[in-house]
Amino acid sequence: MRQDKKSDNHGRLIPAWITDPIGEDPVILSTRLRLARNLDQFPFPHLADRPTLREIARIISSALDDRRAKSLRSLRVVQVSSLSDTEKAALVDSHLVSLLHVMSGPHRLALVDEHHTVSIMVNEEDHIRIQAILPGLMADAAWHEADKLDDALIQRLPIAYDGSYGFLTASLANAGTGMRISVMAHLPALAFLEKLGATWQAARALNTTVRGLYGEGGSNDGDVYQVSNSTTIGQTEKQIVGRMKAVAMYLHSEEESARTLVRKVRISDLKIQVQDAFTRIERATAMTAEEAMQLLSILRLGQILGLTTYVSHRMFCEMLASIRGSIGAIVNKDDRARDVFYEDTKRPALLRNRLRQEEKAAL
Amino acid sequence: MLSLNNDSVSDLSYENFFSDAEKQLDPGSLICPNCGTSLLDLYNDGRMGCGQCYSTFKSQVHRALIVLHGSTAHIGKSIHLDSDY
Repeated sequence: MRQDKKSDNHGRLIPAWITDPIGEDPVILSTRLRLARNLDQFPFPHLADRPTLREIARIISSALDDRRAKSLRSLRVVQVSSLSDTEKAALVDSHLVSLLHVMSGPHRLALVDEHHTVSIMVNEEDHIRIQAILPGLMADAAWHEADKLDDALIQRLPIAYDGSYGFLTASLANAGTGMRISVMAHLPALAFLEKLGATWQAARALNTTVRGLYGEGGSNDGDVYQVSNSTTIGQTEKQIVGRMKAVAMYLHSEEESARTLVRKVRISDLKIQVQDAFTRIERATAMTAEEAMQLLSILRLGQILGLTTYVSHRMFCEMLASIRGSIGAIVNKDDRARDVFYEDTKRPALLRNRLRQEEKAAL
Repeated sequence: MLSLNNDSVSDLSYENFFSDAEKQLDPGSLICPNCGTSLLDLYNDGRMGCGQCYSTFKSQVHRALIVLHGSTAHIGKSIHLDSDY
């Protein structure tokens, strides 16, 4: 079985949120929590010149280079500008660093732990962005991981903080706790039944922001959505975590009910869509990442509801974290990325091969 | 298709920072002594230039936080590690 495999066919480590079966959930795919912090006195990155950015990066990397602190020991420091396009795309697609970060120029650091669970971006929108990403709805654990790193940083660095406003961030949308939790939810049955409108209305009433997989609120990206807290000040971290857990549990429950309904009354319609998806994958000579994810989403729903499509949870998440790929070309327009994932014409064959592998593994 | 900043949740615009009376003032009249950010920069960019901007532009910050979060009071983690949050 493939479940123990921790790296892909290119030897790249697959993040724990995809490989770790503990906490795995068929609706809430991952929980990402980040804390925004800045150094006192220094201009925020968008105002800092290159020497200042270099100095900020030096101060922070020196403070983090402390083998005595257990939370810091396993972090690997990389200059983002020294990474290949493929490496940048892999970090972004795995949600370990942002696209903004890999496109922002020199003196940007990325620190990533050996399991690809926690990461720190240096000189993104804020001087420091600490992040933890875990499978399923492990919001408390993600908070614990990020908080440990935060404590280590606060002990070692002069952090911009105000008794009234809390942690001072470049954007006022992050001020106070600086905490943003994003749960990634796969909602194919609610989409199939066209019930997402009512679901989002309820989620937004709970002070959350909803975006599509690729950040634009689109509905056609594999039925995967990111739901985040929209306020960061006036609540404790514990309250924010609690609220986001409640929202995620609500989404989970709505999607499970919708899946039951599809199984009971719409399974023949789903079978037709599953067959259409297989036909499209078999015949396609080119395919965008969005279309590929949409077809995989239908096949994944089919698998969950007993139609034997071989699209496992692990396969769906791996594809989610690798199939977009067009980032490679965006990062460096003059040097078209060579990775197989980055070309629309290679994507149908990639899907066909992977589906055959899954089928073989299941037999 | 792609959002550059995965964590941006709100588009900040000058309406969040300025009262009607303040919009009539010279936007270059108030400047952060630490980073040089002016009211005009806030008007154009919507971002703080440094930590000190929070005190330099206190009334604008207060108004924007109310609009964005419904609160201006941090009640979460303190930088004093021994505090109970």
